[in-house]
Amino acid sequence: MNCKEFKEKVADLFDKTIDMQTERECKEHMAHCPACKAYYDELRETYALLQPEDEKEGVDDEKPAMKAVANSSLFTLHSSLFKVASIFIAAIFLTGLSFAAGLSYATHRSQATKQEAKSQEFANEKMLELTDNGERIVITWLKGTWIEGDFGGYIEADPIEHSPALPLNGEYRATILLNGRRINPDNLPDLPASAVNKMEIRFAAGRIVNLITTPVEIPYADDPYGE
Amino acid sequence: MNKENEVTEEELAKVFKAERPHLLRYACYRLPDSEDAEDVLQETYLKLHSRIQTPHGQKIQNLRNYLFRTLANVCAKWQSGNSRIKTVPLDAKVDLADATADTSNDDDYKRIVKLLTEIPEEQAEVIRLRIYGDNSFAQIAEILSLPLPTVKSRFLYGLEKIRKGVKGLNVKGLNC
Repeated sequence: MNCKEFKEKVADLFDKTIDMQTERECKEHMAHCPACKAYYDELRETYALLQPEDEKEGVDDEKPAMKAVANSSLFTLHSSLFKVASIFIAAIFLTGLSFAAGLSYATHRSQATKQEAKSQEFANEKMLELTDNGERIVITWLKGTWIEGDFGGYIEADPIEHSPALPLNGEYRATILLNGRRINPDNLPDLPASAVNKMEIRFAAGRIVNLITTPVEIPYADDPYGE
Repeated sequence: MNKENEVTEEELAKVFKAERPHLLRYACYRLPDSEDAEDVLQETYLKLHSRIQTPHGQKIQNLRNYLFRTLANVCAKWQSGNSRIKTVPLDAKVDLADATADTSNDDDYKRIVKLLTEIPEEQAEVIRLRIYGDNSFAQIAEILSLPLPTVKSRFLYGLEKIRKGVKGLNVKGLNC
């Protein structure tokens, strides 16, 4: 491999995976060419600069492609435990309910990895619980929220912890987090109507719950039932 | 359901759930506001969900790539302002943000966003899809409908420009 060929291949060192022959040829070339080695090192340092702080470990020391291989090995190592956990989770998700969209109602302004961490935290929340009637999704929202969904629209005067009329097969409950934290229903602010967002609950084929918040003019703001 | 699509709701939900961290992270670095990122992610899902139920919809060959492609389009539309819905976030009224604020992470996020804004958008887009979307160059080529060499060169040029901007080093590439 000469310098021109190296430059054509150097991007591959930053790909998710790389074939061993290309990697070996690049390594051999860098061992004999300080300029190409310096060029690659600068690219690698820049690549590391673009990594969020909490994901930087290992980036400086390994090529991204090689790091991906290392991570996949770790995944294989833990896959058995993961499968056991998956079976347990699958048992809970009896109806195959999928939370494809995030349910957090007003997540805080934070950076991407923080969001990711919160999503994970949310996924670990006990959103489903088994009752005599099946599964329930706990939904908590703020006082005065205009609730609109497949079951009609109304202003909820008091915070509730579960939706009483979700038209699903079985009874579902979900949890809404505010700023990444579970809302305390005993200590909710009484917001003015101007600050209230509409909450839409849509059910796709009775399986997927999506909560969409958009601004709304509350009709009949003085009437808690909008009549 | 369109037989050509051969994508079921279950498959869509499964892939979306599995890829959600990467989709969200990509969107967060694409849009200026993490709340917007959550919104476009939801819009993307709804769009795809309705698309797979369309009788004569477009054939979907690779659902994961299609997800990213749709998300990128929704982000672009969002940025154009046509579909931007102004909201009054409840957390602006409820002072709970301080309890969870993480200024160091915010600084880190802003630092990276600033680096990406200093290079041409087409190069930043490839970098975002590669690093934050965790896509391979081949996947990015499919998502952006670009030749693979173009994707790789945009990635390298982007890194080189960022390097120049950060340290002022003369990254001329290879002169040997």
